[in-house]
Amino acid sequence: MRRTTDRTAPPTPPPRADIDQRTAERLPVTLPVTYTIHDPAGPIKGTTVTSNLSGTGVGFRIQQPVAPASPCRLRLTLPQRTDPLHFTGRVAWCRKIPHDSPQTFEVQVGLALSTPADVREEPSFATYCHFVASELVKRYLG
Amino acid sequence: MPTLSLSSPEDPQSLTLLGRLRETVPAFLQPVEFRLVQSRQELEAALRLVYDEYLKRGYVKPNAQRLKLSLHHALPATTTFIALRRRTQLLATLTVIEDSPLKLPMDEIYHEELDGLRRQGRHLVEATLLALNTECFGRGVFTMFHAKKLLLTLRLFKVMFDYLRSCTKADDLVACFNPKHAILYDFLELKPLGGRKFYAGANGHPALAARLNIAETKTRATWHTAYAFFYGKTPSPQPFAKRLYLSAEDLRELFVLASRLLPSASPAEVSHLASCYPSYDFDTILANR
Repeated sequence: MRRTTDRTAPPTPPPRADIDQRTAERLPVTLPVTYTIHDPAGPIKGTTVTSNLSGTGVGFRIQQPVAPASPCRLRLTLPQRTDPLHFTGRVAWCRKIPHDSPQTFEVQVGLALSTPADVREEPSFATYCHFVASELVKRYLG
Repeated sequence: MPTLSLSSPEDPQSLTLLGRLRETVPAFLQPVEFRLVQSRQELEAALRLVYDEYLKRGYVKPNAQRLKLSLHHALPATTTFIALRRRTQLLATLTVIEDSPLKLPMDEIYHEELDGLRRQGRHLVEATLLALNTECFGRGVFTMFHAKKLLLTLRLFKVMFDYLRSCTKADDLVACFNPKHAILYDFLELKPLGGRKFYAGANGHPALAARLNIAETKTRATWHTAYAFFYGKTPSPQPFAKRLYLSAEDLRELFVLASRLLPSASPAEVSHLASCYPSYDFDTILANR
């Protein structure tokens, strides 16, 4: 019979500050995106590519500033898929990015996606969720 | 068809993001050890973490021991995995319970579904008691989107899969979980086994059941990122060394004096447990204080 000897102190929870507790990690992934932002001044529509994304939002550049909290609609196309995923959300923030000439600039926007109460009942969100998880695995465990 | 690419390397924001992730995620995982519990103290710490986390969500009722302990933990084949950071910081835990005459915990509500698999001669193991320490990660971000939570969970699952493949003859992994965690099991391609039911074992919360044919997972490694990781390296026996084997005193202290689980067990259950420990005197273990 083997008898286990306890030589180690019992594990303890780490102090909160010891581990980075920031929100969803943003991944620098480029995906085609079509957007409609319902700015108070009027709808802004366009097609571009994402500059980053996370499970809770996406970021990309547009040509004009938009008001934070403006509702928006997005169509994202994932690799290996022809059918785009549809999302709703809101503008979380927007920031001007100056170009060489002071008269020209672009705007980086961050959009927060509306998360369904039950992710599985929202096929677009479930697919997106698996995509983000796969990207995280590929990058850090692959 | 669109293709996936990184943002342009000259994009300073992309470089910052990538740099931060590449620095923080591996730095976070590097000092984390993934292995079986090796001592009773580690087992109790793991079961206390499960208890504390499940209590926060209302999945357990308060108990004096502050442990999520069941009679299945007395079985020598029951295996608890832990993620330990810097040797002492318990970040996460997961337990696998092999089918036995005690049945599986989820038999409580999915007995018919499990018996269907048993009738096909399948040997079942249940993955259960998954808990991440929210004191470390917070509860704000869903596990699937939180890099550290997701990668920690998958590393823990890899040790579990290595263990199942190298140390057991399990045919199917089964699991019972709250529907709000279903997306993780969907991601791992577990197939539905049973519909939504209310689970007394989770304090009356709803549950779903799913199964995974372990032999089929190898083919997934060619196209599924998580399985490519699970099969990425030959299973090493190292994480399974020095596994905990409960002593007669441990059984008495945990299952008789502290919890009364053994005195409340059926004669058939006690008889099976006694057969698992032929050298132990169960009359002494069960004796009144």
